[in-house]
Amino acid sequence: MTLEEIQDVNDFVGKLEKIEPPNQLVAVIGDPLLQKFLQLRWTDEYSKRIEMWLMAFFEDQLQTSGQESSTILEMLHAIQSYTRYTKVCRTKGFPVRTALTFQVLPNACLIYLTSMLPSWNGILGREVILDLLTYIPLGPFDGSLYHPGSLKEFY
Amino acid sequence: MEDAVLEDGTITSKLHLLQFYKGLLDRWTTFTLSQESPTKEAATALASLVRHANLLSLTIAQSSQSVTTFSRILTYYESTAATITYPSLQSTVRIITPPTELVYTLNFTSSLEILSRLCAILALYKRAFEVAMAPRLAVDIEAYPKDYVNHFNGFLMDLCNCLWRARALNTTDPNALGCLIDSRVTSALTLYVNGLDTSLTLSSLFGFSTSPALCLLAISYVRDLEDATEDSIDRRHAGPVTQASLKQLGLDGGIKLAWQEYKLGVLQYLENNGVAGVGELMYNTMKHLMAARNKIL
Repeated sequence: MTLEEIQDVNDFVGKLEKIEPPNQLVAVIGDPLLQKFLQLRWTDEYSKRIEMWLMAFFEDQLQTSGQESSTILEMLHAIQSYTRYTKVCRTKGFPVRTALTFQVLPNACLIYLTSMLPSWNGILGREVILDLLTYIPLGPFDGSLYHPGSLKEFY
Repeated sequence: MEDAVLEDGTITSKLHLLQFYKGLLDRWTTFTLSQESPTKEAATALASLVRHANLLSLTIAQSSQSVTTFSRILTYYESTAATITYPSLQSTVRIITPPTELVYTLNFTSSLEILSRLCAILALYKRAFEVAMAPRLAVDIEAYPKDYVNHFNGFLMDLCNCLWRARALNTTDPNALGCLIDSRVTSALTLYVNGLDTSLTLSSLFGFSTSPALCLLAISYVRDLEDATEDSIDRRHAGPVTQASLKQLGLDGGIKLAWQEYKLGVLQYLENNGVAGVGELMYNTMKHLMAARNKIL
């Protein structure tokens, strides 16, 4: 059973356990149905697959000169809507149901933003970039919000 | 990143940045709440973030005084107020008060919504201070210097002096800062107001009856009371209501309403009309009002 075969909400709920995620997870990262699927059946493996793919994607983008900014922005938008559906719970000692969850940006995206920020003009894709940056993990704040190399330590 | 966003020097860019800081504060707060107990590092990070965004807010308020701008600034402060209100964070997260000039700039708004939200936020800060300074809690957090708390209490005193006590702009009450208005300005304004009408004084002009933000609802409240008497009164109040005019009105066959009752009534009327902030601040800063209010209800 794949996501494409799902007809409606009832179908989705009834067959949730039998659904196989698509091979190209990231290709549909912006798809609301996939986001709900990932939220309900989250595994480390899916998360790793997404990270790997995104890493490759961003590396590709950074290496290509004269890059298509629209492709990048499209991907950033997709990651934005995907991130809203992630719920990570790292609390220990609480029953899972009462524990508070928080949202986490894919590491690959964070690394991309970190390397892109120093040369960012502050205008291109401002809304989506500023929104993604609110997912920066909690850490020392000195107002510049750019700590070369230090962002990764928080993961 | 900040420099890049602010490069064009527009208010819009500053507001985008402030919105980003609000988002970041919200997420960091959520993250801290999700931890078993908030760490010192988290508390330090949150405090530096708020201090930094405070400066940005002040800069914004000093460059544009539109209702939209003020509203966006208050949206940010609603987040900071929320952060210091969570019981599990109160033992660690430090209360960073909004910049003095910002509080007073917002206080002199002519927008009811802005005034109400400002009051509601200050009421939350007040309660957070009360919790933080209660003896049982003072463990993790370094004690607040007396001057710091008194300075904040000055905001409350000045706002109550403007809105409730008809003692606006005075600097003699405990902690009062006279809304940071220079004494020369105050005396010039006093001269001007005295020359206008013998029954008005500068210190009472910021109260419910004459404040641009509140006067409409204040008089509507009196009109509603008058309408409710179904023509059993001989005379209606011409407005704006003052202590003396209310007394005179009672003698001349109008509605009988004591000054204190009028003010409490306006607070209640505001609340019934969805403007709860002003009342929150008044009840929280003048404890005897809470008792008076409960008596009326």
